[in-house]
Amino acid sequence: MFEALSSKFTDFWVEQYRDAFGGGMSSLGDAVREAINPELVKLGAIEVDPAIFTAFGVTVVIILAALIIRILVIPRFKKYPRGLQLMLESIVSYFDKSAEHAVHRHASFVGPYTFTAALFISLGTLAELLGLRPSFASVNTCFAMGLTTFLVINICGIGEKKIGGRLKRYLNPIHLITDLSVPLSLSLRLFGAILSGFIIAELLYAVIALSFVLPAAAAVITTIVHAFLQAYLFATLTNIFVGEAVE
Amino acid sequence: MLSYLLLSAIEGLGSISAAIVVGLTGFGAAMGMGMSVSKSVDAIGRQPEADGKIRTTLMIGLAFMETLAIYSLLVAILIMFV
Repeated sequence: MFEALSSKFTDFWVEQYRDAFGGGMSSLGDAVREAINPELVKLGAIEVDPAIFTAFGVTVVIILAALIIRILVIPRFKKYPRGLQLMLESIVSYFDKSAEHAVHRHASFVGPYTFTAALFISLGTLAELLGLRPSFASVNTCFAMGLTTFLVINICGIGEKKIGGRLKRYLNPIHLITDLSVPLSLSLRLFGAILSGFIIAELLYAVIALSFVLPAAAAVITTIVHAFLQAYLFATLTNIFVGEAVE
Repeated sequence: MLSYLLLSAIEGLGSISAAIVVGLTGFGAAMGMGMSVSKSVDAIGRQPEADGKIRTTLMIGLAFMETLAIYSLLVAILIMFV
């Protein structure tokens, strides 16, 4: 009696789960292949990776949050910070101070850039917790971030030393290779870390026996730690490379 | 029959190579992590007032090593499932 009831109960939940998450995933290989190579979605005339919608959504969220904080929170700042004001001030001053420590004169440009990049990376990866495809599971998004850092490094270097001084650095041709490998290594590090976390999460979801409670615990390792660690690493490495270019 | 045996042997080779990838990279990353942590503990013991800087540098180095280990995990997953 009890056994029949319990098997009916588990069957019911397995059925519900298949309905909710598209039970077409027959094998683990299919799940991994789907995670690496998703079906393209039509956006207007061109076909795009679905990760781009996460990136757009995160951009909208960041812009709205910035507007709300600027209009509603900042005019009410007090002399002795508490709560939200304390949190905002400590985050912003952490990025400002680490930029000032590394790049001295260009800190007013590099500090906001590293803060924005770190916020975008961490939120774009944390979107995985909502069931979206993380925007950095596509190599194009990662390479865009790497190229932006490359641009920032060169803007600061040329602003500090003018074009002649910057070109004099390449009399030693080994610098050409190390400079060109910067965006590649930054973007591939981001891509590898976040894609592997995403694949492990998809594997857990694909096995029905593992997919009830365990993902909540595993997401701490596969998503949350990676999001903040990679954002921190990206910001720190940007500071180090810009500091090397302006020194 | 023979071709079936050959095919299953090739699939087994994939599993073995995935295990070797994770094992070797984990060995290297663990060696590096152990060395850098022991050296940084030495440095903090010798100069306790510089522990903030040492900890930041240590964290960056550890993150690099962890990234290497993650690369090997990614390669092993690709070998096993794709």
